[in-house]
Amino acid sequence: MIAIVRKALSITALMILSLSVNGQVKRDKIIGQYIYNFASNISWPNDNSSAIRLILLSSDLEVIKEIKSVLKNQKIKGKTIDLTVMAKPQKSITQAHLIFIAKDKLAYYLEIFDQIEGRPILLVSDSYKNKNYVMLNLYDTENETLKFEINKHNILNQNLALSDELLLMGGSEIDVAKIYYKSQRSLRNMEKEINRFNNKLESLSIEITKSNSRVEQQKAVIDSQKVIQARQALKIVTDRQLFEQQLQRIVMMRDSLKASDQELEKQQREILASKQVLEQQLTNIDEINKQILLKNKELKEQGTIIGEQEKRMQLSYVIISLIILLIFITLLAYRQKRKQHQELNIQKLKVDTINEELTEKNEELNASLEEIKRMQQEMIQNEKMASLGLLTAGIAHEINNPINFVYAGINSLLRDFKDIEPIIKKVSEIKIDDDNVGEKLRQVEALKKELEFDEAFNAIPHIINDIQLGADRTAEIVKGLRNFSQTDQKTRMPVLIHDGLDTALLLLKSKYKNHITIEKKYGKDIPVIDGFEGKLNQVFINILSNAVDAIETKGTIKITTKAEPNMVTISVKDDGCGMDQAVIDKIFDPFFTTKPVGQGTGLGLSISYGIIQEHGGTIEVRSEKEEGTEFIIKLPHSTKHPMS
Amino acid sequence: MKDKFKILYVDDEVSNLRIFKDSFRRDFEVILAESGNEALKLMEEHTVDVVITDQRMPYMTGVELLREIHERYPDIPPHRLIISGYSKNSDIERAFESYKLFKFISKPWRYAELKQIILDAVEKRIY
Repeated sequence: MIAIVRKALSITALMILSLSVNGQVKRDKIIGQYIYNFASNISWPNDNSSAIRLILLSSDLEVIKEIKSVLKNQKIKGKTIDLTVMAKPQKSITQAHLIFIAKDKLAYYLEIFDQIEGRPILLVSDSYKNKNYVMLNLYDTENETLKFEINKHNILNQNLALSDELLLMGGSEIDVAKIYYKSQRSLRNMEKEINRFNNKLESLSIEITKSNSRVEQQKAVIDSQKVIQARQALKIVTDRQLFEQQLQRIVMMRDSLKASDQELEKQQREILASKQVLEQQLTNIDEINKQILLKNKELKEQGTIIGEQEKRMQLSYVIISLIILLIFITLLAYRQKRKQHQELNIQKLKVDTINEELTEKNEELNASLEEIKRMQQEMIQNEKMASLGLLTAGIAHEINNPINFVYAGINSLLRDFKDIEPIIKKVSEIKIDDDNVGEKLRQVEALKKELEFDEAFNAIPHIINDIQLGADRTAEIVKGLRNFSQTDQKTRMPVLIHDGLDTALLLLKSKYKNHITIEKKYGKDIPVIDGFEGKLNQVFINILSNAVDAIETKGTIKITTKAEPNMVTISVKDDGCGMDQAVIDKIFDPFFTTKPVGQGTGLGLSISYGIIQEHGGTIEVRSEKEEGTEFIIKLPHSTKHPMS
Repeated sequence: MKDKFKILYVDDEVSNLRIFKDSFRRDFEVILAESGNEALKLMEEHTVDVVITDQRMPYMTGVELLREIHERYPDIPPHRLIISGYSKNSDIERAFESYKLFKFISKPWRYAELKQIILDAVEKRIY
């Protein structure tokens, strides 16, 4: 009860005080009262201290005095007041219960606020502007009354409890939300400002970089100009040196000119002197001239006398020299004649020796000509022998087989006949009127089986056929040989071209049988050729043999014959190794061969060429290397009986 | 009756084949071939005791045939192969060395001589 009364009293006292007198002293007193009331209406939790520790932060003596007087001998909640005055915040403020920051020390407010954060300490401030951080703040109103505002949140944050009567005392609550909102807005504004500043900063920095690069460029320009300047300075120095050199030269020239000037003067003086001398001498000469004239007269007179004498002398000289000349000439002529005689003799000798040599050489030439003719004959003979050799080889090869047929065939036939002979005998012994014909016939049957009668009997006609074949072929070959051996015919006969070609093929068969295919395309109605059969056959064998030789591994030879109005064309085409142009040009030359030594005489084609010419025909060759060769023979024909 | 020996005779001339068979049919069983290829085919079907071949044939000569036989039947007993022909040459010499050629007979052959040669060739097996 007393407490309440006391409280009411104090409140009214305060109100009266606040309503009544102005003046700072009173204000300070009010402050003191406020402090007292605040301390009385705040509870410090878990507080066991015996005294309430108040700290006054001020250097204002008046304020201190008034507050001290108010709080003198007062007790808050039964506890004594322990008042400390500080000019600056010290460490011990953390032990206080209440700190009053006077107007003159508001600069320390935040520092103290931070220090006491979380502690049960109440901050009372006088006219602190930042509502965010006040706890209990005293402020002057417009009509100069001292009011206070509360920031409950901050007070509660310090673990302090407020009593409701605090508000009754005339304080106003600070709207924290408003403060927050205000601070947010101010933050946003500040952010906006910051952004603006940032943008400005960016643009400024861009500008800076731009102007930096410009500066760099200009620096470069300045550098280059510096270089140019340096170069020019150098040039100036060198030019100067040159000028100096030239100056020196000019000076030297000037000096020399001076010297020569002096020389000229000297010479001029000398000239004057000599001129004088000359004049003197001229007068001397005049005198001498006069004397000479006189003497000339005298000389003339003497001259005429001498002239006459000379004439006489000259005559005698001429006569003498003429005589000498005559003698000389005769001597020379004599010598020449002798020389010519000698030369003639020498030449006569030379001519005689040359004559002898010539006759000798003539004899030698004749001898070698004979030799060559002989050798040619030999070679032709060799060629004939070679082709004959070819023939015989071919014939031997070819005759071999048919002879085998005949030979072996006869043998076989004999034995077959021996086999069937007993059976024939047996059969012929059977007489019509025999008793045991049946028995005899059975015996015959048995014998037939024993001796393999059927086999032998059936074989016989075949064997006979083969023997016949062999004999026929042999005859053919011999006929062919006869054809070829008749190369010395004297009269022309009708010749069948196809027969000649076939015979040639037959004779060469063993050479080509294995690897060459022959394609014969014989034309129809090929007319008869008037000529020498043996020689034409020789041509065919030569051309075909060459074709066979041209094919190395495998190939084909095509033989075509065709009848034309005036000619018979025979073509022999092979797909062998062919010839290049250089060889084609020489192919009909005698002794030209592409075969190794010993294998070809080189005469075959040249002889063939001659034979065809003899018959009034032509022989041509077409060839390509690696492709093949074609020989085309054209022979004129007699238009008698066309026979194929 | 003992089994006759089997002879394979190869020649491109039909008349030769006929005559050979007729000559030797009493003594041996004769099989005929007209070419090297036919001969090889027949050898697959028959076990042959002696092969006699002509040398000069189109497509495959006698020596070439022997080479084929040698490759296909490397363990054929020696002395089973005979060539007949006109004359010896380097190919045939090689055949003696490389392809176990037994004998070369020149044409024309005589019945008695050839029979003896064949018997020699065959009977070597028994030893």
